[in-house]
Amino acid sequence: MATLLIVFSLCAAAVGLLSLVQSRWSKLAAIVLGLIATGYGWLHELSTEAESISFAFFNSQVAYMWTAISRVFWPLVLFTLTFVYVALYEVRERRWIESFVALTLINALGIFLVFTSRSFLALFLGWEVMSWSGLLIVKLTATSEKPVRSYLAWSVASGVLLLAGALLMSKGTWDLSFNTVVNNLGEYDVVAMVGLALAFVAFLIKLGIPPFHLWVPTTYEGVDPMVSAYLSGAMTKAGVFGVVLLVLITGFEWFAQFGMFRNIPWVSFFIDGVIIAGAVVATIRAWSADDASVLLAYSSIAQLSYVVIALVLMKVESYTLPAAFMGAMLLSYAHTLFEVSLFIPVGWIYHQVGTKSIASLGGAGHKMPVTFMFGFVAILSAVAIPPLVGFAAKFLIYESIVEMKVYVLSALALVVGAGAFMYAFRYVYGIFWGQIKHEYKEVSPVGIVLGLFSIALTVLLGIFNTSFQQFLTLPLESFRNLLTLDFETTTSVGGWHSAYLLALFITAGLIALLVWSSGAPARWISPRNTWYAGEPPKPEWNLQVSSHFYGPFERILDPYAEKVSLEKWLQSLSSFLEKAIGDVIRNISADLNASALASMLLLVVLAIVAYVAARGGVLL
Amino acid sequence: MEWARLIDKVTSKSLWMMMYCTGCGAIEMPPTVTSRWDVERFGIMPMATPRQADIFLITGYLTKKTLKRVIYVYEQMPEPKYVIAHGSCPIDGGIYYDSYNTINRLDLFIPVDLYIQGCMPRAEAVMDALLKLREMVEKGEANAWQKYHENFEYYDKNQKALFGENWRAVMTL
Amino acid sequence: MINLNNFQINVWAALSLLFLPIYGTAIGLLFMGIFRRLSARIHQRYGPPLWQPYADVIKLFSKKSNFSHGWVYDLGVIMGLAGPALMLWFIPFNGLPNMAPYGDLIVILYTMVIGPLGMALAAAVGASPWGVLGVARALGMMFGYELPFMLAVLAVVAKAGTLRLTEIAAMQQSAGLWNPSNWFYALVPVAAVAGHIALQGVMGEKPFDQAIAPHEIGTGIMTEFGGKYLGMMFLFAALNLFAELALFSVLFLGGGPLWLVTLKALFLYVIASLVDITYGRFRPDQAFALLWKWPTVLALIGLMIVLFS
Ligand code: SF4
Repeated sequence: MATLLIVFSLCAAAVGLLSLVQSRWSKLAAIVLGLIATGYGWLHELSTEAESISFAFFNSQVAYMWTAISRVFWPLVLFTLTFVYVALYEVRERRWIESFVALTLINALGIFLVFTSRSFLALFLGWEVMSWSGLLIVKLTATSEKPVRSYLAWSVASGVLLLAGALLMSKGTWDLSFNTVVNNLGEYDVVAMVGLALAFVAFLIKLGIPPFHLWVPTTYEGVDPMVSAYLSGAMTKAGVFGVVLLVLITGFEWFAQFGMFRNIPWVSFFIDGVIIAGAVVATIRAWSADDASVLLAYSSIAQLSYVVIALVLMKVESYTLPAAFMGAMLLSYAHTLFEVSLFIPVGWIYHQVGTKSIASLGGAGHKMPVTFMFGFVAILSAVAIPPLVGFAAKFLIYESIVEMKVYVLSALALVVGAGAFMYAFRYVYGIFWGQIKHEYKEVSPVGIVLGLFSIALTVLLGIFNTSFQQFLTLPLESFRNLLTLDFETTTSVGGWHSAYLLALFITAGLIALLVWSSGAPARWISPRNTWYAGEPPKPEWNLQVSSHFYGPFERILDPYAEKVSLEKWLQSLSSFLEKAIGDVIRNISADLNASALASMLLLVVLAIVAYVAARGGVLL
Repeated sequence: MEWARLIDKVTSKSLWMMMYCTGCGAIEMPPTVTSRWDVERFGIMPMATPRQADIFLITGYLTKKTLKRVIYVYEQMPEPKYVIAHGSCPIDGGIYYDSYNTINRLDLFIPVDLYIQGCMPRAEAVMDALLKLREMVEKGEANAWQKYHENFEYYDKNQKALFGENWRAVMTL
Repeated sequence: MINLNNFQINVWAALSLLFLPIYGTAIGLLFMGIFRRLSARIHQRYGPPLWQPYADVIKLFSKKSNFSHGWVYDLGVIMGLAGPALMLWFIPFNGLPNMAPYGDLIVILYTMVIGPLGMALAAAVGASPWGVLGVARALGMMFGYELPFMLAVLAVVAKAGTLRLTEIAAMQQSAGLWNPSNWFYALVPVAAVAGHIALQGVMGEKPFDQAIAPHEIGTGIMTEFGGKYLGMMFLFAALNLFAELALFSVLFLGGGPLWLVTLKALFLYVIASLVDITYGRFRPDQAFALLWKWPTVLALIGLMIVLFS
């Protein structure tokens, strides 16, 4: 574990120094170094020993331990890093690649600390490393001050809430280990419960769950899509970890003490009600967004809502893991995979044509069909087309909600799922199809290897989703136990069989292919050769339906969405936060750059390691 | 050969029309397709776009401006496709024969299968033509669309003489 | 683990599975013929013969030239036809082998979307704005009808306590195949009526046929489809029609053997056709508002009745 910290920090420092060079070779070297660190991260994933680092801070224990749960979460970050680094190779950008690699390594380190933390103080330290390096990542490519301020305000709020929550949960004793917190909460201490609520909000902010989501679209809009890919693939998962942690600490039984309604705690009802309303609004916002990153930001919000919904309803009865937990974890994986695979094509196109506004994009798929397939399979997974991994995840979540007999909620969740098709189609059509815009005739195909890899992963994880469930339940002793050839998932209300579904899908496809090929072969014509009431489309005509795509539905839903989402109120809260926090800290952080931060953090980490080693607390 | 005959027989039972309706003849279409004459009982239906259509019904006079669109639409239709010239105007110019801007003969520009004479032909005449076309399709005689391939130089020359050498440049897509 | 002993390769089962989409398509086309005949009679016309849609499809596939916008267009069309076939395999019919034990209602609800999504992809590849407008309307309407439809379906699930269609069908037939007292249309009538209204939207019949509005937006998704592509579209529409009606029959009208489900589907379709013929088309926003108002309220009331009784 300490080795991983050292490898990541050293690589980050080295890459940070490379950022002073900024040539083609330094970019390549940065990516390679980043991949080496990630590779070590993958190696570490295989280790089964419960290594730990711990030291005392006042009377609080700061402990990090490599446990089963961290093993489950850590690949999320590694997938994101691998994808983003490989994708960066195709980006013809000189200025920020090295700094970005360095900062993401440090950020990943922060997330690693969060995943391995065994006390709230440890979690908070990791959280801060993550948040502040995240700030620099956002700052790196920000086109204006707005995204930085928004990110900063909300992430400081999240950090403060987390610390305050943790302190309250410890009843001000600074004893922040999970056990103490569990004890305090077990006594239904009011102070501790307020703390719990604060910490929950802190995690929701990182996840970007409504009504704490405002920074997500604002930030993603203003930064490079590659940065968004990293933020949404890796950093949100720290929030997922936090929510899982809190749910495991408190749990169904604990919630139940506040009163039940038809066997469901009121608390869960309330939280899920708020979140599903937020998810509906986020879906509506996603399909009316113009910026591709904003569309994906809202889609990410809506998708992660499912995770929280399932977790809050989760009932741990015996030592078998509930469907809700499996679904939430599988959806976290699916979310990382598809969000990263959706942002990366946007990033590539953005770097070739210089815009990510859907109104001025379109037709890229004619030039880069493989990149299109990359994004297309990802979006199919996002809208949960069986048998892709997104479906495997959503399936478990729907089943778990139905199992809990919360039928209205499951209907609403299915409706949010239906709304996902709307933004999915906007993504597919608005970016990849329709006419080829004249400005974009030069777009060249990119990312064949990464695209194929992502497609294969999405399909395979979906087919072998039962193996993934094994990964969650079994201790990782050998890979042989992990891979199971039983493809059937069964819950108490239903089930599905991924291999049969794939086989049937292929059969149906072959039948359709047969029917299709029975007709005369088709001649391929230009996309602009279309019927337009007899008029041949002139070159200067814009045939793309790019703004107000869902006009009639927007007109009827937007007024309600505005009310439900408390947007005005949130905007003022947001600007208040930005004022209160932004002005002070912006000046401080203005002069920091990646290499400086990298070296600084390296020193900090080395100091911590030295300190721990000196106290003899190292357990390597 | 037998197979082709069978297909022709089935095809003749299902003919979909694309109607070019800027001439006067458009007014005869409603009685033809609605309950007065009901062509649908013969499997003939009006369709919305050229891609879906088999019959191209030119109902009336053509001008230099509209002929371009007619040719464009004709080329968008999948083969086999049948053209019916409805009324005197597309046959010989009709009462507009000496106008500065109308086209007197449609078949100089695209091949025509059937002509309906009259100014304007009544719905009965349209029905008659459609049934005649049905018969021709069944016997495999409605082959004008092949002429467009065989004699493309001829049609192209006429089109170019009218619109100028580069008129197809608009259609390069 | 795959147990080879359980892996009985049953030729009869495989053949009947292959036969199912063919049957579904044939019945769907027949229904379309019935619809055309029916609407002609209401318009005081004779109308085409019942086999007209078959002739149309054969004609479309025998076209000698076809136009495609590239391989993604082809892929979309093929995916479009594969979707409803996949969906049909998961619907249980008494006495016929089916895959229903291997995929429950959630699987069906999601395979239901594969077909339309494929067709939408094909419509998006070309630059035609009409096709895409059709898709936009179709997806918007889907968001609209999904709310009442899901609430109604969940009312059935709440009553049955399971998502497995085989069990839902068996429960309804427990009083006998011909006894409707256990059908969910009788057990959850309010929600079923709401679901029935939403079914009109699911099938895209008037007043919810904004997606293919021939006199507004070409024919929506079909605008650029000609020749065999339009033929694929017709087959897709027929198969999808049958699959959706069969799903509704199994959910609310008791299911049964294939012929009985077909009869029930015909019954449902005739009602839907009569509504279609008598109504005009609503504007998309009106239709959406309608769907989120009355059927939703009805479905919610129905669900509440189930939950609190
Ligand atoms: S033929 Fe007669 S009715 Fe027809 S377009 Fe010419 S002038 Fe009008």
